[in-house]
Amino acid sequence: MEFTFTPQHLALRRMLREFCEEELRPRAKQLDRTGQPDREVLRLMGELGLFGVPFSQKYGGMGAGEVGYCILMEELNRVCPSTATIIGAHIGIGAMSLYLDGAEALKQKYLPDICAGRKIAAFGLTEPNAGSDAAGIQLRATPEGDSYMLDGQKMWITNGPIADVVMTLAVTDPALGARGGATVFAVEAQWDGFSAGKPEKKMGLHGSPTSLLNFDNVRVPKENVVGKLGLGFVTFMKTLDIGRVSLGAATLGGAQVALEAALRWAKVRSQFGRSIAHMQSIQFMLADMAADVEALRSLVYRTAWLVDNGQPFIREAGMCKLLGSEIASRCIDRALQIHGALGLSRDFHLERGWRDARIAEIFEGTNEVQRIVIASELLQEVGVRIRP
Amino acid sequence: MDFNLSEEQQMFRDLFRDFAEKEVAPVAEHTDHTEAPPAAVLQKAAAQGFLGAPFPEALGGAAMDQLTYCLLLEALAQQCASTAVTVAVHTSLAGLTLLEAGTAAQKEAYLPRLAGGELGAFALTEPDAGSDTSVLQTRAVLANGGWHFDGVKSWVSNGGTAGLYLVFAATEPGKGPAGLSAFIVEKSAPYLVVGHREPTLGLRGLDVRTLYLEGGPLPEGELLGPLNGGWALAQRAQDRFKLALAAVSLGVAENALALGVRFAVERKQFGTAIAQKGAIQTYLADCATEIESVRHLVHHAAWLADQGQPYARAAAMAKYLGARVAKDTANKMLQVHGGYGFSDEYAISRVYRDSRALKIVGGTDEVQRFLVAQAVLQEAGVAIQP
Amino acid sequence: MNIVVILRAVKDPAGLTVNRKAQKVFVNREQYLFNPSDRNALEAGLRLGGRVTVVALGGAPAEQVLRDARAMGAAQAIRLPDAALQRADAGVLTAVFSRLLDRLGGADLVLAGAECLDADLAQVAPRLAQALQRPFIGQAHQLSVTEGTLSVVAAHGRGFRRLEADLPAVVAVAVDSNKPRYAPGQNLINIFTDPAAVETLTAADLELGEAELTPVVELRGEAFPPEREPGKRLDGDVVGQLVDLIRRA
Ligand SMILES: Cc1cc2nc3c(=O)[nH]c(=O)nc-3n(C[C@H](O)[C@H](O)[C@H](O)COP(=O)(O)OP(=O)(O)OC[C@H]3O[C@@H](n4cnc5c(N)ncnc54)[C@H](O)[C@@H]3O)c2cc1C
Ligand SMILES: Cc1cc2nc3c(=O)[nH]c(=O)nc-3n(C[C@H](O)[C@H](O)[C@H](O)COP(=O)(O)OP(=O)(O)OC[C@H]3O[C@@H](n4cnc5c(N)ncnc54)[C@H](O)[C@@H]3O)c2cc1C
Repeated sequence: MEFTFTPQHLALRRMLREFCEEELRPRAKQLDRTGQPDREVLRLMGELGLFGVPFSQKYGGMGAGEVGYCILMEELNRVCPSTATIIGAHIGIGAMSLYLDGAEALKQKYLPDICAGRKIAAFGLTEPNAGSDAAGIQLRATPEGDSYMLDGQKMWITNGPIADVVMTLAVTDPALGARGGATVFAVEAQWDGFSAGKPEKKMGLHGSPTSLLNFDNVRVPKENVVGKLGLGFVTFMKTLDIGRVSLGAATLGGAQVALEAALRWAKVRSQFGRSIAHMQSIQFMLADMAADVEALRSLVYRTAWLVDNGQPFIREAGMCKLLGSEIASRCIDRALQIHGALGLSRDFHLERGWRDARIAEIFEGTNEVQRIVIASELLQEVGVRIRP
Repeated sequence: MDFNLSEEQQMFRDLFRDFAEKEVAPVAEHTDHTEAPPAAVLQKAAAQGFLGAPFPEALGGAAMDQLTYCLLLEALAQQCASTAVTVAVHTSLAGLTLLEAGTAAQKEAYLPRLAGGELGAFALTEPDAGSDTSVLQTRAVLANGGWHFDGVKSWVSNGGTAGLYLVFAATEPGKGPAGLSAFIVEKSAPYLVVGHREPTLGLRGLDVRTLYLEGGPLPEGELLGPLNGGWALAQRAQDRFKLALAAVSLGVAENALALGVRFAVERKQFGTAIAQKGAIQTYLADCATEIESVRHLVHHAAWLADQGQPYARAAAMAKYLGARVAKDTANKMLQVHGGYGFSDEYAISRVYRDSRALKIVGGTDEVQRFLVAQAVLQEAGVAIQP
Repeated sequence: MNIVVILRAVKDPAGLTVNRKAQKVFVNREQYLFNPSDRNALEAGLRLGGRVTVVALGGAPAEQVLRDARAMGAAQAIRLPDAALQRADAGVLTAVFSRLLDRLGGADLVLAGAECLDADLAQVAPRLAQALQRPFIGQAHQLSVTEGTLSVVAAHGRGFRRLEADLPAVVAVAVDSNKPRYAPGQNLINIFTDPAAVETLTAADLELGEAELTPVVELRGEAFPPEREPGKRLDGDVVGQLVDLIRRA
């Protein structure tokens, strides 16, 4: 057993911590207020290679593996969940589907730009009638010459309004439906017939634009099929599996920063003539938070290690997302409670963290769906097959 | 034992619900979005007698009992928590404290104004006095026949919209709770400066302010209750406020549950309404059960108050459980909404944000638990300090 | 142009608690930082665009600082690991660095941070200049080189002045005088993977003798500076009291 980070990963974390504290923290509040992603900070991140952390250097990636990518997501989400979400959709699920299953030529075509941040990626799965039941997608892709014509809608797409290339799941064989009849396409936003809706107004993650995407007979060349024809659903599910590890890492950052804030405040705030750090209600909340954070940290990095070492990780990945999102919500909620009324103030950072954290229990497969997936794996081992 | 509301209470409840649905609901989202206190709604409420609900008729009130007043807050909160808390602060903290401690002249001068739609505020909390308000930095000194103030009050609800403020200040510094007094200050007082509007996570229609008190004079007669008797007044006001907030929490939780049920019935995934799924059903069952237990706590505490029996402990329990259930219900029902729960287009995210403040305003969860534990241990002959 | 930048790893003050009452400094977490003004010196060197060699004394913390520097863009890194050098005073350091410079075949420009978070003696750079008989400029904020002439904007009193010197020269770079770049992630991964990213040289390699390695400064003990008297608040007739105080002073 070896539970230490390599010097490479430690160095990466040091750089990221400093970058996030110096460049991102001062902007995080503004991002929340304006709802506009900060192009300048994205450019800087591109220069540092942060848009391609887990990918091989062959494609211009950083080559830091899943562990390195988890470090990135943890550090980003400590400071600015909106930016972490932009990156999560870009790397963790958007580009990841291409990286996992794309043909070499297609990877060469897009990944270098994606890794450098010159092109922003998005992941287009959800539709108005296909949320948890992703197999219910209806967006059609009809062959026409050496192209496919894509027609339909995606909704809730992170990076929708800023994406240059959207990995889009479409039905290529309606008879088979999603299972066997759906295919992933790399669709460029500049192509005719593609348009993104207005950014949704959300409770949190204001700096991460989410929108509807309209596909009005968009012509997509056949070489832009990602992976195998008809097996797009598998590609996307595999992508989501791995995405859940880094989403877990992001939630870890949120939980960690909540604990730090709570500790700082418990030390300085006095009531009843003593620092509230001397009250057991506060102490126990802190202890519970620390236990939560530590458990999550172990789970997340162990799972990332499984990924990097080519071992099975799917069940653990679901747990990272499930446990992580709930731990983050819980820790931030406790930190807010420890701050009393101050925690509720928008002049202070905690309420933003509280709003931002909530979505992790929902997107990339709701926590109910995670429980179904984990349970179905468990039950399958004892010979029981369940349906969602 | 009789668990039924009286006929009169039922009639009022229907009236409140009707008012809330017709007048409050349509502007709830707008109120949250613009963060503007719902002035027009409050005027309509005043016209209905709802801003003096438990005040005597002779003073412009509607002479409702505490239980009926709780039904009002619950109904308002089912549509808009900001409106409900605004009314709760106005009534339980400001109005009823005046009614309890005011001289005949004070009551006659002020209560009809409050019942008529001028808002009341209650300025106790200070930057360094939140859970513990026994030591205040704000000072009031009597000089040349008038009170002169110096201090800062924070988190004053209705702070920018009120016409009347009950202000708590140290009249004998160094004596702690035994040196605090309450004062009635008019909005027009030149030494009352309304400061920063607190931008909040939820309850965005509630006008929460920092107040600066700098100078005087406030006529000597505007002392409320006995000199150095402010602490007891504040305690009783807080007990009333807890009951009121418990009723607000109940309404918030009911609202969340109703939104969740509606969504679960309409939303189809995997070929059926998600309401058909066991996990969703469990959420609904848990929330409904908890809401019912809060309702009974609220009604019981209100009934005790109406019977003239001690109700502080019951109110603390109702406030504590109520806030928790409101937040938990809103949280679960947001989850039922899936991605839509995160959208501003659906009311549940507002309800969820609103619910969070309930665990802090009017005494935090931790403080309520302390109070309940104190009562429990007192019965065992043990005295505890916070 | 060959530039040598002298770097140090210093104990991170965030890991320390200073307790005056106990007259003790408690180390809560032993962690090291890239000495801030050294980073500014490195950044200044990288901006000049020459070939930058970084050097540092010590063990693992120095190794980390040197690798960070390489990831930021330094072409070569040399670590002097001898334990004996940990106790070096400014005189010894001067000897070590002049010998090292000889071995490197000289440098057009030697850069160091103008201050150090720990001892902050600010002696090494000027003494090195003296030993090498080169011009020295302290508190540099901006550096540029044109045709063998170094031009420096340096802090002077409350303002700045522009100084010129012929190369080779030694310059101490002021803290916060520039914004050091972040090391690109790819470089970090590669440099921290490469076992040969940092070379080591021992005192023996530099042919330094006992005499040169013996410090003349001896540490006799450490103590806290005396506590400052709290200020006094004047009430009432402030001006009168002030005048009175000044008269008596
Ligand atoms: C901010 C944001 C960003 C997003 N980004 C992306 C993106 O980049 N790309 C993308 O493709 N999608 C994205 N999504 C969509 C997201 O993945 C979906 O919202 C999510 O999968 C849930 O789907 P839904 O919203 O339709 O909820 P529904 O599926 O309608 O679920 C409603 C409720 O029912 C429960 N439920 C559903 N089925 C079952 C069942 N069988 N058993 C028990 N309970 C069940 C759910 O858990 C949930 O509680 C994003 C969403 C948001 C809010
Ligand atoms: C929306 C809103 C409206 C408000 N309106 C008013 C108003 O109209 N008038 C007014 O006077 N005030 C008002 N307040 C202030 C409110 O009463 C205080 O915020 C509340 O009492 C908590 O004080 P605090 O925020 O200073 O938290 P603190 O007292 O600083 O508490 C910090 C943390 O320490 C915990 N803690 C404190 N003491 C103990 C203890 N003894 N044991 C265990 N844990 C403890 C708390 O539970 C909390 O978790 C309002 C607050 C809010 C949020």
